[in-house]
Formats: sequence, structure tokens, C-alpha cells
Amino acid sequence: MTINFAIDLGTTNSLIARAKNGNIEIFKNPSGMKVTLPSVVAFRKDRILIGDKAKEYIEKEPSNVFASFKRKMGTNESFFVASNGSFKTPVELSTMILQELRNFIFTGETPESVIITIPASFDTIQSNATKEAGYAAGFREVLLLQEPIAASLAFANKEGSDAGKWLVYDLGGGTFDVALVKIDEDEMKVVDHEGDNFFGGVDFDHLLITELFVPYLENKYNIQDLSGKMLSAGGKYNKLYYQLLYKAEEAKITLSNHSNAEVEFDMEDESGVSHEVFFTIERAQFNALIRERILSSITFIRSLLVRNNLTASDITEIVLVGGSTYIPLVRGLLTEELQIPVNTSIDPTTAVVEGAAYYAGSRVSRLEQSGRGSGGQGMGGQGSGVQGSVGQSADGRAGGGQAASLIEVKTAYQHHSREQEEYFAASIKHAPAGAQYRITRADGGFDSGVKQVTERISEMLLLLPNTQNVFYLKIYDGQGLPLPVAIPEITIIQGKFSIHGQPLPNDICLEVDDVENNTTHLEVIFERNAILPIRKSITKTLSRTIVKGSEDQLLINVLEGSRYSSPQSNLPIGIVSIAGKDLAADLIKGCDIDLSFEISESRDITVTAYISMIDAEFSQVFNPSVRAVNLVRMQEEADYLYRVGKRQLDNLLTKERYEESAVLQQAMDELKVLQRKIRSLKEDDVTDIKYQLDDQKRKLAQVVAAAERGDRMLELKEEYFYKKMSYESLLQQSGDDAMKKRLEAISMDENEWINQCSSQFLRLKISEMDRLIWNIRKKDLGYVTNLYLHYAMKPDNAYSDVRQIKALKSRGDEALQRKNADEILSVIYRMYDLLIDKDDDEMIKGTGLRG
Amino acid sequence: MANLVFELEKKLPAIQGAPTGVQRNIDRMKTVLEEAGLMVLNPMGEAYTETRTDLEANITDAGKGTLQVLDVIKPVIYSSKEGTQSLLQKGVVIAGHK
Repeated sequence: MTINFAIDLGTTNSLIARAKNGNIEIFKNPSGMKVTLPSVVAFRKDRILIGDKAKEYIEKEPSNVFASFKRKMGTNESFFVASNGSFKTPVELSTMILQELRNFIFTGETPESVIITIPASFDTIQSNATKEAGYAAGFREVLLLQEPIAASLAFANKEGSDAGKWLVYDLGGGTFDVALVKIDEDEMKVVDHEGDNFFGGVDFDHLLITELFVPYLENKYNIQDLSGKMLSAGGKYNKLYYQLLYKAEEAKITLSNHSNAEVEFDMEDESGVSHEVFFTIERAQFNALIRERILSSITFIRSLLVRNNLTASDITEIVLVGGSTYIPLVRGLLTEELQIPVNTSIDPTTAVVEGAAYYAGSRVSRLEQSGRGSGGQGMGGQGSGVQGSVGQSADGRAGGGQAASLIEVKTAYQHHSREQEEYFAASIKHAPAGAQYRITRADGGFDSGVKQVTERISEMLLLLPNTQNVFYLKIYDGQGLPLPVAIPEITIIQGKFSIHGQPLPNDICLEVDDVENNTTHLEVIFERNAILPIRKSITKTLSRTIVKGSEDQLLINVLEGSRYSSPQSNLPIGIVSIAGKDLAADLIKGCDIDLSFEISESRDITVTAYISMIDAEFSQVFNPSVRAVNLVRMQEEADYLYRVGKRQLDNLLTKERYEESAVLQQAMDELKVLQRKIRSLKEDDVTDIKYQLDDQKRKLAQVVAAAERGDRMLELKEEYFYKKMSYESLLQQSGDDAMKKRLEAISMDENEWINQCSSQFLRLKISEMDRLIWNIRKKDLGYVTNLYLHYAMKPDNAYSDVRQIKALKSRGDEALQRKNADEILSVIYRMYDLLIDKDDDEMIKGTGLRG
Repeated sequence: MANLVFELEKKLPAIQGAPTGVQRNIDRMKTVLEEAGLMVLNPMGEAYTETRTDLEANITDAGKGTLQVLDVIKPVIYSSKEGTQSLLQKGVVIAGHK
């Protein structure tokens, strides 16, 4: 078994990677998903922070935050932690970084062997100190590899270099190293090295601020000594300093890929006036600032070459490592000044860990050789099967499993919360001395840091709004190694899922036009059981032109009831009508309309429509106790129901199904009465009659729908299933997986709706499938030809314009000869437009909103 | 795109006489982002603690008491897939005492 795992334990940043089947995987920090972990540890009041969070406190609490401790490895120096009065050695701090990197391994593996990289400058004592940190972090086997060698391996594996001498130029955030590496008798080794511990990318950021940003701002806004004011404690421009630091780094990164960078931020001048600052930095300006610093790094290289009796021509290439080597001037000056080619084939940020992982992938573990397990499984990682009773052990190293089996954890917290954070408490019994715990949120947005276990622990858990928040509580032994204690996930639902909220008893839908089928159907806005209050915005387009001053109206009809029923049988709960006579200009077909719907906890519904074309907003609040009935709409619906019912009645009578027709006949009689009553009602009627009529209309709609369901629905269902089957086989042949998925999406949850949906809904599904398949069929010349022939065979008087249809038929015949599918199609579209009878019998005037 | 929408919205109050339609357009862009599974959060004014790994903070002063988010350079962005959120972008903020 090979070692596989490797760690770049850097001065500024650290990384962890694994080799698997010749490929390298670099693990990301579960919080923030970055591959780099800042090598910084902070000791806050009751918790330890490692990495990004620790780095934030460097300037605020320098006496409790420790960075760059790698430089002190192997010395007797200890760091005094002011917050708890203890001392920490560089080895202990490095151990914490290594343990944190282990947490990056999302696969649940718990490696026992690892390669850790060290600078070429490390002596035996420093190297041993690094090993010691590795063992303390829970590794049983630690092998060291020099950083320049690791970087060289990364590029050698890509380029296949097998001989010669080269330089590894490592310019990171805060440190600079250069190493001379050679391959001699198949052995790669560092011949000599040189470095500067106080030179890196951060210096470039500062140069940008002091030499460019500050003079520009001082001059433009007449500010004296801006630098001083930015850096003085409690100064007016403190905030600006941090803003500029961020902007400088951003500009520096941009200038590596672009010839200029735009800098944009807001600031207040001395008199408190806010300004929007915007200026451009040219790469040439940036280059002029950093040139001297880079040249001084080249001086290091020259002295290194002289010391080793080498000239530039003895060096085959320079391998670049460290984020600051992305800067084009670094690359340019190295080539120009030394006349040595620069190798940019590897990623400078990850080169060291990648190379070390290649090495780890080829080194056989001694633990394995001596017959012990390498620890790929076990120790309570994910997938190790530590479910069930709390405290059960899943094996592991000496002591860990046994200690864990005794630990009892009881948690207490609110499962639902409307707060931004929620109090969590737990009792932890029989934990080993020095045990620690940590709580993290699954999405990466919260981390308690490492805290000492006491019998009772508590934490304020920060919650992400309107969602289910999942937290993990993990316990570690005194050395920071995870103990396999199975603690159930902590799940807290924030906001809208709160038990305090009321769920919606029915779907809330919007009635929209089904232009192709000349009908309307329902589009769900809020699903049943959604928790109030709730809000949603959608954008629709107009399906027809509403002429200014006309009687026509655009309807935003909000209904309550199953999304699968017909709009006529659902309860209208809010309707906004925008009439032609109220308009200042025509509303043109195709223009956008922004709709927002809001239902409060007391079920008030606010419907707002904004039409950008005329910059007008229409808003209305509907109270649940006052029903919304639009007389014109009710009349249109009753007429439509009558037409559909009549057609169905004729159908039943033809088939001599008298029993069913009797029920429908009665409904039709009632509908006639209803139509009369609606027509006789005045628009401003204040009585309850219109509500009673609406109730009647909905009941009759259900009878008509039921009559259809038994008969028309059967036909529609047959059509639906037949088409679905044939389309599936068509897509199978085409091998178009994306289309197959879209077809599956159309028939999703079919079992739920197929037996209770309205004919409109089923027709909608069929149309959706047709539209999908049309995209394939319209390219099929045979299909298009047949379709054309279908329309061409119709007599000329079936079309509204005989002269035009004759011209179209002659154009179509010519297109047929040319076998041009697109041309034939365009003729078909025109012919369809001219067709008089488009099966419009069941047409209902739409709402004006395209579905 | 989410960052640009955030910046636009941040600048809007400073533009005097900006047509109301601009906010609508921004709201619409935000809806499009939400539908694409992006949750964009503005932590402005919220309390800042060291447990907030959703934020990358620059802490301005050495005062005592609860820290607050004083300025937001980049918003927090979560991506949502099949009901599960994951942190896509840490918010870049300036924290300090008001």
C-alpha cells in the first residue's frame, strides 16, 4: 500500500492532497471550499480558530493570534497566549494546522502515513520538529520531502524532464525562496538555496495602496496624510484601509491577466460627503512599482549561481511556485535578466502539494510492509457505519475506540426557529481528559472552532434563513484526533418552515392562456402546504394586444384549488382586471408583465402587476373574507361551460348514453338560467348574489368536467399515453438524452394527477410533449412533407384568403422539389394562419397572459 | 452576475431621482438568480462573530463589545441543489464597532 497522502505545510498557507490511480486530488476546506488553509492559529476566549477565521484576528488581537510559526520550528521559542495564559510551541501550532488539514478529507479516510514538505533550508532539528508535529497530529508514519523537490516532481511528471539543473523560484504571499535542483544519477536533489523571509505578494498590495491609491485620493478629495489617518487606531479612515487592501489585491490579480484593472469603491471625504471612486490602473503603472523588488530577488539568484560556479546557460529552466509568480513582470524579468526559460506548466499555488502527492503515490508505507493496516477505514469517518447508540466505537487506534464507547452525549435544542441564531446545549459525560469538540454547519457557513469539552456545553448556532440547517457535533481526544462517537445530526428549521406558520390548504394558481388549444389552464404559484407568509414574483408575456379605450381586459385571476382542475371549477380569490378603457396606451402582444403575489399570515392576498412598456403598476389587496368575483369573467366562463357541455351532451346522445346525458342535461338547464342571471346583474351590484352565482358556476363546472372526464378524458388519456410511448421510442432512436430527460419531466408525478386532472391540464401536457418532439420532427423532411400535404389537400375555401393560399401552395410545391425542410415549414406556418376552422368550438376568451 | 446585481442594488439609494423601474429590474434579476439556485445574502448590520465562516472579515479596530458588519464588499452566496445549500462565495465584509 502506498502512502498517497501529502501535506504542504507552508509558512503562509497549507494544503493537503491525495494520489489515486496516478491522479492527484487536492482537498478543499469544507468551509469556504478553498484548497488553501492559512497557517494561522487564534486563541479566542473559549475557542481555538484555525485558518481563515484566525487570520482575521491577526491585527485585532496580535497577542492571541499566531502565524509564520514555521520559521521558528526546531527552536526553543514558545508563544505566550495572552487569552489563557498558556504557552504554545511551534510544533504544537503546526500540529493544529495538520489536524485541521485532516478535516479537509471528505472521503472519510483517516490516513496513518503522510508526506510533509519542508523548506530546503530546514536543518535536522527543524525537520525532526516537523515530523514530531506530524506524529502529534495522529499520523503514525511521517516522511519529509523538500519543497523545491516536490515542485520539481510536479513539473517533471508533466514535462518528463529527467536530467539537468534547474531553479525553483518560490514567491508566496509573504516569503521568497529560490533553490537550485539537479538530477544526478537518477536522484533529484537540492544543491543550494537562498531566501528572504520578508518578501512576498503582500508587499505588492501595500505598494499599490501607498504609491497609487493614497496619492490619488489625497489629491482628488483634498485629504492630508491619508495613510496616517487610515492606520491610526480609531481613525476616520480605518474602514477605508481594509477596503483598499481588498481592492489592491483584487487589482493585482486582475493585472496578471489584463492590461488594466478598474478600481471601484465608495468613500467619504473630510467633510463627510460620500463619493463613488472609480479609476483605472494600467499594468505598466503596477510594473513600475514592483520592478525594484523583483530585481532584488533576481540578485539572490545571481549570487546563488556564482556561489555554485554556474552561469545562466547551465540552467535548463526556472520552475515557478507560489501565487505571486502569476504576475507577468515576475515571469518577464526572470527570462529577460537571466536569459533562462521560465516553465509555467504547473499551477504555482498547488505545485508543492501536487508534487508531494505524486511522491506519496509511489512510496510504499512501512506500516503496510510490517503487516499493519494503513487505516483507510475505521475511526468513525463517514461511511464507517457508526450509527445507532451514542458512544459505540468503530474500532480505531489504541484507546480512541474504547474511550469513545464510554462517552454519552445528550443534546437539547429547538428544532424550529424564527431567530437568526438558536441556543444549543448538550451534556457530555465520560469524555477523556482534555477532550475537545467542534460544531460545524453542513453548508460551510458556521464553525464553532475547537472548544474544550465540559460536562455541559452550549453554543449559539447561526442559522441560514428559510431553510433546514444541519449541524455536526464532533468530539476529539486531547491530541485533537476524532473520537468515533455517533451523535445524530443537529437539524434546525429556520423561518418559513416554522411550526408557527400556517400551511396553505390548497394550491394557489394563476389562470393563464393556452394559446394553441384556445383555452386557459392553471399555473401553480404557491403549492399546497407552503407556509405563510409567502411571496413570489414571476414574469409573463401578453398573449394578445389590449387596445387602449377598448372593452377588452387583461385579467390576473388568482384561484384556490387543485392545480390539476379546470380554472372554472376553482375558487377565485383575487382578480385584477386591467381594462382597455383605463389604459393610456395600447398593450402590445408579447410585452412583459411582472407579477408579484404575496399572501400574509392572515391570508390577505396582494397582487401587483407592473407593465414596463407603459411604466404602470396595478396593485390590489384581496381579503379572504371578501371573495373576488369579476362579472365579465364569470359570464365568459358560463358561456364557455355551456359550449363545452353542449358539445358533450350531443356526443352522449349520439352514443345513446341516456343516463349520463340526463345528468348533463339538467346541468345545462341550470347553466342557461345562470347565464341569464349573470347578464341581468349590474356591475356595481353590492349584494351577495354574484358570489352565489359563482358558487353555482363552479358546481356546474364540476358536472361538466365529470361528464367530460368519463368520455373526452378517456380519449385524451389515450392520446396522452399513445404519444408518450411513441415519443419515448422516437427519442430512444435519436439517442438524445437531454430531450429524454425533458420528456420524463413532463410526465413527472403522473400517477398523482392522471385520474383527477381536468381536460385542460391533460391537453397542456400533450401540447408540451408535442412541442418537445416538434423540435426533432421539424428537421425530418418526410414528416414535414406529409404535414404540408395535409394542409395542401384542404380545399382553397378552407382558408381565409384564396389568392394567398394559391400562391402559398405553389411556393410549397416548389420547396418540396428542392427538398428544403425549412422552406416547407415556413409555408406550413403561413397556411395554418390562414386556416379558417381551427377547431375553435371550445374556445374561451383568454386572460391575456401567455401560459 | 450575483455580485454585480448586489453592487447595483447597493448603489441605488445614492442615485437621486433614479426611476422606480430600476429597483424592479434588480428584483427581477434577483428572482432569476434565485431560480437558478443562488441565494444571495447581504449581512450588512448583522452581528459579527468568529463562528461566521460565511464571512471573510477585515476587523477595523481594537474596541470591545459586539462586532458588527459595517460594510459589505461582496455578498454571501449559497448555491442550492436539491434542497441542500452549500457556501459558494464567502461574504467579504468590514467588521467593527458602530
